Amino acid sequence: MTGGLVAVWALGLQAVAIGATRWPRLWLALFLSGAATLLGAGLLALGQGPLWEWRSELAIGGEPLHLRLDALSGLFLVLLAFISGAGPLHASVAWSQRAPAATARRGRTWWSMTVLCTSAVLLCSNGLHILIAWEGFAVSAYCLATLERERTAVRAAGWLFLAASRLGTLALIAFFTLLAVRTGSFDLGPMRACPDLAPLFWLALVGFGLKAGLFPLHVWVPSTYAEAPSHVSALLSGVVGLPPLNGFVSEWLIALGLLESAAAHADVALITAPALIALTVSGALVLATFVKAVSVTFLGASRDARTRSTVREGDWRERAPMLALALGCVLIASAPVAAWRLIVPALEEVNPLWTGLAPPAELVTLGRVQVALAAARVATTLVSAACVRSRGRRRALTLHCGLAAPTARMQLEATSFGSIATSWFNWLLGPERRYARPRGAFPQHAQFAERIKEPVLERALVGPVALVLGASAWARRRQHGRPQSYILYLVLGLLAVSAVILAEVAL
Amino acid sequence: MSRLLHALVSLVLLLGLAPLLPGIVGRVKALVAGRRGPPLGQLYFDLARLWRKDIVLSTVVSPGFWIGPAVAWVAVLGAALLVPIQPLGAVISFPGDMLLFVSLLALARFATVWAALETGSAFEGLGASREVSFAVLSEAALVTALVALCVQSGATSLEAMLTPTSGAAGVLLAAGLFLVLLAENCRIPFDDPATHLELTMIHEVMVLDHSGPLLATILHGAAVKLMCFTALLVSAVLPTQRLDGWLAALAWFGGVLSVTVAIGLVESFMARSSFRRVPLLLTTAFLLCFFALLVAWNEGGA
Repeated sequence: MTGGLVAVWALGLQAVAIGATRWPRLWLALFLSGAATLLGAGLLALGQGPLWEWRSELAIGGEPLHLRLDALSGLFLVLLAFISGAGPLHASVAWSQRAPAATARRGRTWWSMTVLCTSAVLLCSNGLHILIAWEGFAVSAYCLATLERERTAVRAAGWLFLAASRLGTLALIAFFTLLAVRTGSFDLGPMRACPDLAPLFWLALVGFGLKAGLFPLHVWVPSTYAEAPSHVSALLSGVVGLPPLNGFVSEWLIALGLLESAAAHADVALITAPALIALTVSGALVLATFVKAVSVTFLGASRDARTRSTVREGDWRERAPMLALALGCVLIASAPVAAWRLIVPALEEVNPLWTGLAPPAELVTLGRVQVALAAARVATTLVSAACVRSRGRRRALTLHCGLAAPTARMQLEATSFGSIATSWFNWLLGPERRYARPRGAFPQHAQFAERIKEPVLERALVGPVALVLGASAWARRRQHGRPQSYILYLVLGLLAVSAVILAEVAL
Repeated sequence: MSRLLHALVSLVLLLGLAPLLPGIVGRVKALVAGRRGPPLGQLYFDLARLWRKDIVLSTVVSPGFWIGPAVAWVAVLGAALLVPIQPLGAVISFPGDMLLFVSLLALARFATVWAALETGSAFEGLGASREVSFAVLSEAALVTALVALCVQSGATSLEAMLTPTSGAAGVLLAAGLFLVLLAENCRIPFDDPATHLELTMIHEVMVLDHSGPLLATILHGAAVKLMCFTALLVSAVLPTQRLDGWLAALAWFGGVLSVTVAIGLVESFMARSSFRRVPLLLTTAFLLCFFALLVAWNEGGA
């Protein structure tokens, strides 16, 4: 019982916080206490507590309110509490010092709304109410992602996000309505026992997949994540961390499953063995991409003078939440068994067969090895630091192999860095290249630009979207501003109605 | 032998003997070329000299520059501890440890590349780009070889899966793993560790800016990695587990020596391939391992 009541209390705190956006500190205090309460509710639900259910006579949209907190929603509440709590802390400096007051206030309002609606989605157990909360989440996330809407790119990204959200919501409306038609009620119950509902899965996959950014439904992801403030992108993507800080534990568990089926010589290994190889290849490509992004953004010397003068290191308040999330990853790597125990109650909700799954013995060993390796890393880093401190006082220009006056612009660009790996996929990606070759003994100008079109948005969708836009433009021209046309439509309409009536009379 | 003593002996063997391998390769190359060549223990002298030297840091680097080599060294050592040394066996062994082996090698690569990119040098960027790109193919070949071993033995731990078989699978696996060894350790024909042309380097160009103890860490780490891959190849191909005690140790050391000499011979008789041909060679390595996997699957099913 307690977990659910705590969750409702958390929702209340977040709702109150919306009223306090004018006072940043009060809002932050209220919001953070709401997030902490949400975290407590999630942990209580995960801690094998009894399922909490609350049905009320109060009807919203004609459907009685039905809230439910089980271990699965508890797990997601915990994740939501972590990320939503870290976000405002990260943004507090930007919102209080750099952003205009109105923008900051809007940011606080929509942040609260997004978290409130997401919590409601996790707690509601009625299809119609989930749809309403989902819609609230989509709208507030749009407003949050377009906080800096004075920039054209932000507005364009926002429209794309909104369009994708609409499509997702359409699929979800179809899903919940068909579900209600088949089960006789909007109330959600266990669907595992109803195999006839399986075809509806595809609608849910499109609806939720669009928001989750699953390929090929990810069209809104690249532009929205790039243009939205970083903490908003983190909230939208639910980022809690990345390898290698998590010690590849999650990847290890997936790969172990694939490997065990190969070792057992099961028929399924005909799929799992190639899948494992493909997973490794994609992992190596991810490493290359990650290194590229990090190096271009953070490493080496700043390429242009304007960036050098305006960009500064973040305040501790901006770094602390990121460090806290990174620490979470390190904890998962060091204590994978504890993370396993935390997740198992949620897995039981998904499939009762998975009740009381004990962590595999190898996971225990892996945790110990990770701790030993981490300790060794710390020790060698300390030795390295001591060496640098005692013998690394000399500073010099980066070695440029004989070049006397290197400049920051001579560093490798991201395109060049990725050119080897991307060249293998040219047949698939079809990059657009623009050259202006250097000419003559004293070339004045040279240029090289390469751009890879987004495969879904800029290739696959171009044709269908052009068709829809063409049809819409044609329909719009037919009904826009010409009285002669309207009279013609009226006459045609009357003729059609007369024809129907005459046909009925004749029969 | 107690676990602690076993771990200590393995550590000493790994850390102590690893720098000998590049010395053997160098000596083989020198003998083939009709020279006397540097002493076998040249790398030991180099490491001792570098450890005493000062460090020069670039003006643009952050702490990642000197944390990178330390992290990479530990990762490579961790990976090496998973590979069995006969007759002692592996220091760490548990089901699924081959996945940790692959991820540790990836982490080492990540740390080295990060440290290289700290400098902002275009040359080091080129080397880093080549390193991470070619790693896509070499990792695929390595994992395919390990999956083949896994299918062949029915085990998921590195120590248990290294049960050599005769026949086609063994030959294919040996050839594939030898190519992976050459690629992962930046040897000819993939890379030339002795070249003086920065534009044609992969690994060497990434560490141009490192000096003193940092460079010593990197060079020692590279030697441990070479030892690790040599041990992996020997254990995958040579059935030393069937021998006892000293005989197994002798056979294993003989195997390691043979592979090292083979590397030296390859370096003596081949030139470095052009970069356009490197993916082709790595694809060949992948295909060899893949055919080994198919043969292992077929034999396992029979």
